[in-house]
Amino acid sequence: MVMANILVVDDDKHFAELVAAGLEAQGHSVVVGFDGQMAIRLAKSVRPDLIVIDVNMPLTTGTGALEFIRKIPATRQIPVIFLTGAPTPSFYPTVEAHSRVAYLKKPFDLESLNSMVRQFLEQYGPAEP
Amino acid sequence: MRVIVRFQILFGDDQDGALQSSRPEIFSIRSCCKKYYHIPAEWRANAVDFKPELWRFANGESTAEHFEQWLYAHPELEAQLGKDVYVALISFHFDSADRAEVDALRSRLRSHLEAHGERSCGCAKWKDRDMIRLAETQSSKAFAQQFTLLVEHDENPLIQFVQCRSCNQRWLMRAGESGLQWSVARLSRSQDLAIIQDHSWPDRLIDEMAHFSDYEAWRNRLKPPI
Repeated sequence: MVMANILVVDDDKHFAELVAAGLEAQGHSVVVGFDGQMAIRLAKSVRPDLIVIDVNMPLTTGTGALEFIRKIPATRQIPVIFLTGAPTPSFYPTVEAHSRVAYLKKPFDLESLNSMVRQFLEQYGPAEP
Repeated sequence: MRVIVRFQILFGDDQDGALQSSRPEIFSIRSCCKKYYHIPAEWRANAVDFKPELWRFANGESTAEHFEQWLYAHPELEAQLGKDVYVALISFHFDSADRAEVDALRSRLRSHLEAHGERSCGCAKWKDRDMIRLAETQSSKAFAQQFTLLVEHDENPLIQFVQCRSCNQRWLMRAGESGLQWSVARLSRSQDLAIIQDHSWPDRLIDEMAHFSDYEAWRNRLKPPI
């Protein structure tokens, strides 16, 4: 299995840490952020292989962060998995407009997330150094 | 405090907004309004003009941290700046860049703003609190015509709440005795709404502007850049 650097972003700190722990248990290295602006900042500095991000967050939403991440040359290829509770009508067009994007509806079990992460990493691989 | 709110029609030739003066030696923007109207809703919710914030960063008046937060909150900025400069800004590592790198970014942004016709609105370049000294050959009247009077402070009528006709930024302004010096203070959105909706003026600024009308005195009171 491919091990990767993963950025997990959720404004619910407890939930973010829970997801991070689940991914770390699989052998991944995880960095955690708590809002959309942190997501952009960490994506630029950490250059993760994959981003797992909540949709509804303060300052900048998950989809808002994705727009920035896709425009920044250094981060535009990073695959993104959204974690969403109640997606708004505008969420789906945003997901469809971008490649390397998938979503997982909350609540979900960690195995579903691990499975999707595994699939993404096998398909897209860790980013080039 | 009673506040007289007077509005003038925005259209028509420039003379509609021309300043007149009760004392010939003092130029101000007051007393020139022929028609007064309530505040149109679109003025309150006028389109966001990004230039003042961009200039603040370019001039070193706002911190990299503040600018980064503002940048991420305004994705629509790309249309105004163009892709190259916009991508350069959002790609910048604000949190880890050293001073020289931030200065280089400020310089690049300043060059871009100057090269793309932003000179049409001079007030975007002013500092938040500034003293504008006109050249001897520059007309005070022409200077004042760049602004529309919104509200005149009733206790200090030389202090006026005005709006730039080009970028819609709101300012407090006071003309110096010669008409060649203007003390100006940029108003934040909350400050300008406080004046319009609650008739609440920023007392400290009013006090300073009321007592320091000459260039050097005001200059000495200006805060250093943030």
